[in-house]
Amino acid sequence: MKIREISQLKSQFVVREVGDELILVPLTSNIARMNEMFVINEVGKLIWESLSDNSDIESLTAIVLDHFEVAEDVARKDVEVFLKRLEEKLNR
Amino acid sequence: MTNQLLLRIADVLIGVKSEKDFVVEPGLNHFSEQNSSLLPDVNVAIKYSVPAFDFSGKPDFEARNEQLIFYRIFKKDTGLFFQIFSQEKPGEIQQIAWLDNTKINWEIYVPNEEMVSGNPLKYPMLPVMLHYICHQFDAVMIHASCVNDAGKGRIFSGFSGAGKSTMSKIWSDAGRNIINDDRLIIRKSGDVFKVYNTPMYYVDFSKSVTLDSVFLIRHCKENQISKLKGAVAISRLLAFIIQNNFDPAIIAHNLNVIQQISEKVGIYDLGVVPDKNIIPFVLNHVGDE
Repeated sequence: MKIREISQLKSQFVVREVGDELILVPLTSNIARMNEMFVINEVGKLIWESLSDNSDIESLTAIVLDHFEVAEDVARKDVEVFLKRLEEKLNR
Repeated sequence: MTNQLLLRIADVLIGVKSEKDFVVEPGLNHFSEQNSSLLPDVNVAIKYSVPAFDFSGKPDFEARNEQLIFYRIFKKDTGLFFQIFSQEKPGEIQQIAWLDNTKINWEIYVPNEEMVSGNPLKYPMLPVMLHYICHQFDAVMIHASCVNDAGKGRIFSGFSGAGKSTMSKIWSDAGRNIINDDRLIIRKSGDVFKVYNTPMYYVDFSKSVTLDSVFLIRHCKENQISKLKGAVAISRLLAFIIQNNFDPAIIAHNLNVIQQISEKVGIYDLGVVPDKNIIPFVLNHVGDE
């Protein structure tokens, strides 16, 4: 799934901000997926809020680097892992 | 037999008026409001016909397991429309219902009286109604057990088989009263949250207690407890709320209520060895940070 597709599916989640974290609850048409909400930390929250149709790995990594004192390879890895996790949720 | 009834469930007054005399399950006996002059918060009209509702297209939500369909929901401009299915005759529609956009007016249609044995609120109609009533009254419905521990409501929730009923029995054997061991309503009442039982298939009194603590239980080799906070506490508790997550407004409502609960009472992860020692273990730890 491309980042653009992931971004366009953001509307399929209801989001609740709790402190530095976000709770993401997927909209669903059946009971089986109702408990698939998940919590993301402040790095994930930043990526989620920055994610748009025009995003790519490079731009999201740069945003993480602007906000957190981490090495570039760590920031990139965080972005990739977060997007992969989101994609897995969206594909179920 | 009666053609109208005023119910009080979780301190919500539900007025039921029917075109014909009807019966209710014995479990509703102690949920009748005796003061019939009170105005209902929610109105339910029972009709015995087949309405010309449009159920074409894919439902917005379907509650089912591998064997049975429980109900389907269709969201339209004029409200929510429900097909409620028989649990004895799989696939056959037992009731059709319409909840208008005020969310307090229900019309329940019974196409075949034999199918409901004279009881138009026959399961799963009533729990479905209660679920949507919760959304109007700062309340949520949860799969859990609850005991009244000297005025403190202690809720035990968890996945199927985690021991919700076992926990309430252990506390009951030690002298605490069980509010219910399966389905509860948690409702905001002034500055506190109260826990209420709901009508079941068996006879029980209407009961309530102020919520003090929530324990999300799991089997464990030794008793373990940790207090949950923030987003983790909210998401863990939300998993056990009875919910239809097709509508963002419903999810937002549930998140809002759960967040308020988490700010008011302790929510704990509790690993349990199911014997009487869990009681002093819990009481020694509740309130600890």
